[in-house]
Amino acid sequence: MTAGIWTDILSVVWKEWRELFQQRSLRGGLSNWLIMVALIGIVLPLQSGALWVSQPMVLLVWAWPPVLGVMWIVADSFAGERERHTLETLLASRLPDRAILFGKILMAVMYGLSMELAGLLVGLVTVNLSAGGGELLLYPGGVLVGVLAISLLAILLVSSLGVFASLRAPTVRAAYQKMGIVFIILFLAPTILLPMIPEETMASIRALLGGLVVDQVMLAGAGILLVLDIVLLFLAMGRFQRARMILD
Amino acid sequence: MNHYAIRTEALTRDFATVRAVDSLSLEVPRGVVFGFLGPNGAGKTTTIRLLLGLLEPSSGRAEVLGLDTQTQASGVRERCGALLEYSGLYERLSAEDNLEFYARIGMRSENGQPLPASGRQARIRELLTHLDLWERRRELVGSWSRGMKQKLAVARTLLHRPALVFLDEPTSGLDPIAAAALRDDLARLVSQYGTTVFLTTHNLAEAEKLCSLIGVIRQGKLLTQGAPDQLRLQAGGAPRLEIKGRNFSPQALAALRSRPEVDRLTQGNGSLLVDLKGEMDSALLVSELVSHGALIEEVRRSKASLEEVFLTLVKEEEEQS
Repeated sequence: MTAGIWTDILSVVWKEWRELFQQRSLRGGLSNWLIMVALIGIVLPLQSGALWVSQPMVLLVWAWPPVLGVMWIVADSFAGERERHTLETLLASRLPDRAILFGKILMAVMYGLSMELAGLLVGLVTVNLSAGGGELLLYPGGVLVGVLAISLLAILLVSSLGVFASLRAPTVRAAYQKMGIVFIILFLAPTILLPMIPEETMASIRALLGGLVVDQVMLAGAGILLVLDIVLLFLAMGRFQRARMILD
Repeated sequence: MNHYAIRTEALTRDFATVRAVDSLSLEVPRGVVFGFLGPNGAGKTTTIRLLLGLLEPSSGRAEVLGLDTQTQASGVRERCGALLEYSGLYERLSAEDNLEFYARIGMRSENGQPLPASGRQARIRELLTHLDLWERRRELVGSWSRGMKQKLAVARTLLHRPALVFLDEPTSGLDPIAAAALRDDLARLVSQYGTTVFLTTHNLAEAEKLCSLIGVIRQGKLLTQGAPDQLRLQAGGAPRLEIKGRNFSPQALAALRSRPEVDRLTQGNGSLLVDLKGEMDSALLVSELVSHGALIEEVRRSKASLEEVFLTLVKEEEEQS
């Protein structure tokens, strides 16, 4: 990408950021951000105690709140502009398609990742104060990098999915519902599909998973997320058609 | 440089079974305020969307500022400003931030690089001051009246000094005072910056006040195009002079009738009604009458309003179809 398109992407991010943080309501961007940081940085570390830093799986499992935190932002990305009648003016500007699309995705990723980072930082302080016992507790370096990488990829996945759903949705509510359906399918699919797998295959899967270490789980997870992210980004780029977006 | 800001050739756009724009062939020279008149649903907004390259035509083609709207759409949008059906303002941002965003993405220096913050700020200040909005620049736009929002939207449209501006019914929904104020602002800004304006409206008084060239569209078809006076003549609404006075002698009347510009002469009680074939200097007729001993008290020029012209054209089209 050229320097010009990066300037345009950052201009879109600037606008989205200002719009999000100038909302003074409880549903505003800042309130949402603070609630999530409090959850990741205070509530969860207090419940987990020293395990928060010593057990990598605890951190990994609790990496999902920022993923949920960006859902409403991405649902709003295009559907919100359409609902508030600002989309056509934006599309009539000189901004290239990719600058608008990636600007909105980047904004959501920055928002979610900043939540995760701030939450982890506050969490470290909370754990040290509540369960440190005079000893300085720190996250293991490799785990921290892995958790951040997986969070980044998961947030990117939800952002791309949300933007994809929002591109043609007439309202924010409709975009949110579309995303909800995808999540329900994702959660229900294992419940429905797992009992259908023969017992022998399940036993070998269990043996395989049992032999994995956390690093391998994170690496495999990151790989799957990366592939899904790339596919969704390409799908969103294909779905971004000005004429269809105006007429929808 | 291409003489025309807009040129279309048999531009057509269908939506399923509806033909929104039907073989539209239009020529708008640079530097004029072009009024695109038509009732609701006539195809005005679709035409703007086609000209901005936001929609692709079903057939035909269009050129805007010498650029093809299909193959060079981003170039068209870069050089144009657009105030569309809705103001398109971000209500959760301040007026200043709204302009700052569009300045960041639209304003370029001479070498094509984004304009630095100082340049953007100077331009924002210039426009907001011009429109009496500078003092309120930090307020959220959502708290503003519709008239103020439209003014701000006009400022946003002109921010990057576009060569061509599309204004889609800019005074629609405004009260008469706000509409008049916005019209004045528009006229002032346009004359100051020399921008070509493509204005759609169904408000004929607005078109009369602002436009030097007019096109009338109905059911996607262009009924006619020309200067307002030309359209009046075309629709049979020739200019008319009403001359009040005394001593209108037969010689004076005969002299008047013999003039080529005079179409018809009707004598009333202490007045003469002179239907003209076209525009002419009324002083010449008065001087002719005075030279034959007439005493003139008052001369009034009347024209068919654009509304009359529009209704005549629509009626004719209905009869033909």
